[in-house]
Amino acid sequence: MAQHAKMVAALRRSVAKIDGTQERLVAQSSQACLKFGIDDIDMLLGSGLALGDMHEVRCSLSRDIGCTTGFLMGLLSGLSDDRPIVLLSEPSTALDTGNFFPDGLVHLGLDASRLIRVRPLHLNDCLWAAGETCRTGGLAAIILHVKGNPNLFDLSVSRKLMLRAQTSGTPLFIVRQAGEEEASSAATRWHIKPASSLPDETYPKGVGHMRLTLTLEKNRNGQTGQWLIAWNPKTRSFEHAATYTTASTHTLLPLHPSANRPDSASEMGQVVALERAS
Amino acid sequence: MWRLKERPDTPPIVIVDTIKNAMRIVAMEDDQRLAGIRVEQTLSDARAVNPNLDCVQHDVHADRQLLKQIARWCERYTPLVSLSGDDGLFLNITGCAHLFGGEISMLEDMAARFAAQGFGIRLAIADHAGTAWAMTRYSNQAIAKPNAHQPLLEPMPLFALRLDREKVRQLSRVGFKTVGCLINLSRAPIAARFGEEVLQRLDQALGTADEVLSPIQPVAELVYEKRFPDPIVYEDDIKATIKLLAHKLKITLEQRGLGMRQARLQLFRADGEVTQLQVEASGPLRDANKIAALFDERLASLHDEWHAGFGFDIVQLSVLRTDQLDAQQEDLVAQDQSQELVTHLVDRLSARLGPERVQVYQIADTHIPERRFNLASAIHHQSQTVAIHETEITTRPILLFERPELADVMAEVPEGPPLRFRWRNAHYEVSHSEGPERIACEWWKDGRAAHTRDYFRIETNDGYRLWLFRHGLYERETDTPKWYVHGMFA
Repeated sequence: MAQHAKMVAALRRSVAKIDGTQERLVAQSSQACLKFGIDDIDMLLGSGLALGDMHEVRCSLSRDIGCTTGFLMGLLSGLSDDRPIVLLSEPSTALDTGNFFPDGLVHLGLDASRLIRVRPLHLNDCLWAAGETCRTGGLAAIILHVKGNPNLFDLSVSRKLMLRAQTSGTPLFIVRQAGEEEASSAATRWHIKPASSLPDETYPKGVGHMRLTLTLEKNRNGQTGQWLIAWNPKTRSFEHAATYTTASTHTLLPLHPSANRPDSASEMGQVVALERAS
Repeated sequence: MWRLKERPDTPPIVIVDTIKNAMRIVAMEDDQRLAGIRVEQTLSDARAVNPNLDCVQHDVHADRQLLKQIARWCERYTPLVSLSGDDGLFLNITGCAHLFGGEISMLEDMAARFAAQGFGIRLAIADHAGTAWAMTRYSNQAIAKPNAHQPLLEPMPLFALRLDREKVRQLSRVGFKTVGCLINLSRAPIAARFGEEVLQRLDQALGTADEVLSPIQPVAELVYEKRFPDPIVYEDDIKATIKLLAHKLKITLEQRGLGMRQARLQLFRADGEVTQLQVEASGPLRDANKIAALFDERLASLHDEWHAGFGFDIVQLSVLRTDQLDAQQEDLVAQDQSQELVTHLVDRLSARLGPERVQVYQIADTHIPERRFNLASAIHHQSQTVAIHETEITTRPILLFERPELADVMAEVPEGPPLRFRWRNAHYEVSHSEGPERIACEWWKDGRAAHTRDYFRIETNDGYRLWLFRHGLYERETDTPKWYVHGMFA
């Protein structure tokens, strides 16, 4: 495994030399990072999740929000930083998400007294508050919880937020509940799907710990991938669940082999070039 | 007392209300009194005198609102304004008159401004509220000479003592017609026969008894204001004025070693409207730019709710609450300011969105999940850390719904764990379950009849981990226990 990692790193360095992204990689590795604790993922991201940037975590269904927030909170508990976390939620999320429960947060290694919860009345106010919060330093992280793909939260807004997060160095996490993938300025976009847990060794009949299918859908500097990961409450970190695959599930639709003949009519309703949002 | 000026082009207006089972006149225009219409006359009688009357239903609530609005506008003269009955205001102008060039010019200014707004008013200045009240109604003198109220009051009718009709009737039956009749009488028989109230009102009018006036708004600790001969209209001008006032405020706060906790901005519009903005800070604040920033956010949040109209002629900044704030030395070495940054962020967000929308967690020592924590406004409360029971950590969800959501559950046996259920219009099969964890109600709050809850942690086939509870013990508390989904695990 370690040998494999070394080889990939060496290859990546030589590729970077060729296409001139050396500076970017160096700049990134010098930045503060949040490590997953899973080698594959950390390696894909460079050295970890860049802290002074915007990231998006989304789930396809409204009810996946439990797992999604669990994933994010587990990730944030790895921050060696006990400054406050600002949680901004859009009004429409209140109905089927509810509130963070302090005892449950402790299980993931977070203290509820660090949370500052902001609940504006309108999405507009919510985006304004996110902008102001991103500009302010002194915070460990900012979470912006939106539902679906609201029109107001478009590419220009997300770019503004990203730039502010980069300037202040405070990580901004967009939690998109029940949202489609959408082009945004986020450095990474993750998709969460809850998976059946493995029974706990102390109580085999019971419910185990958080387990989820994690898909890296977008990575500004590199590959994407999919993993099955589980929460380990003893080490308070994520680890590989029993089976995993590194092959991306996001292979583009197969292109027609080029030959010395006109392209055959493609299937109706398919636009290959615009397949994935980034 | 105020009345709208008569309009010659329209029929005279009378205000009517149902009194003693008849439509009676409550108020009317001044010139109608001469025509033979009087208060408490029935409307049909009044119509007989003048068939061409425009009747308006009496709206007590609207009158009250208008009076309050005028009272707020009067705060341009003094911070101590209180309501007097349904039709008057008391202004405590102690120490304020010289700002307007003396009592006479203050009265002239008031009369001119009210007249310009279309109100007919009567004004009087006296040493005591009771005397001033009597003078506005039963005297033509506007300013009473200090310590010489008795000769002024003596010829006035008994109504001038703010007594009700019944009391005045009783007194006049024994021959007391004016205030002067009562002044030199021995007090005990009057109190015995007509009640304490008569004497109390008499003393208040003469100034021998104190009268407590409660101002409509709490009195500010510090007030700064800027008056403009030409009203200002633009938002930028208002913001610049706020900054100017905040800088003045800062100097005083520094001298006194105080910081602002709560402040109010009043914008007096030239036509009588008063816009009022209030901001709070979670800690004592002295920096002029930060104070101004809070008001800027507040103004931005009110975007459509205030109009400059003809412009504002007074901008008044009052500090309602202060806290001790010792002088701080500027540190040459950059220090960690993150705490301060966060505090200011919370203040600004609260100013713009409202204090109740920026919250921190407060944890209570109880096992009932929804009472376990409370979201309190960050500006008024500190978040606190509380030790959490080890067993509760692993068995509590990460998200708790605002209200438990009803689920349609099928269980193997009524007191057993759920097998399958419908929740939010979707069907779930339970693959694993843990429980029950029995949480009894808090009988000292909910009463003994409240149901016990049996909580189950369950996992569905497709990997959703949820927290369900059965409300009520089967057969002991209820025969058809209902099931609820209360939270989500990660």
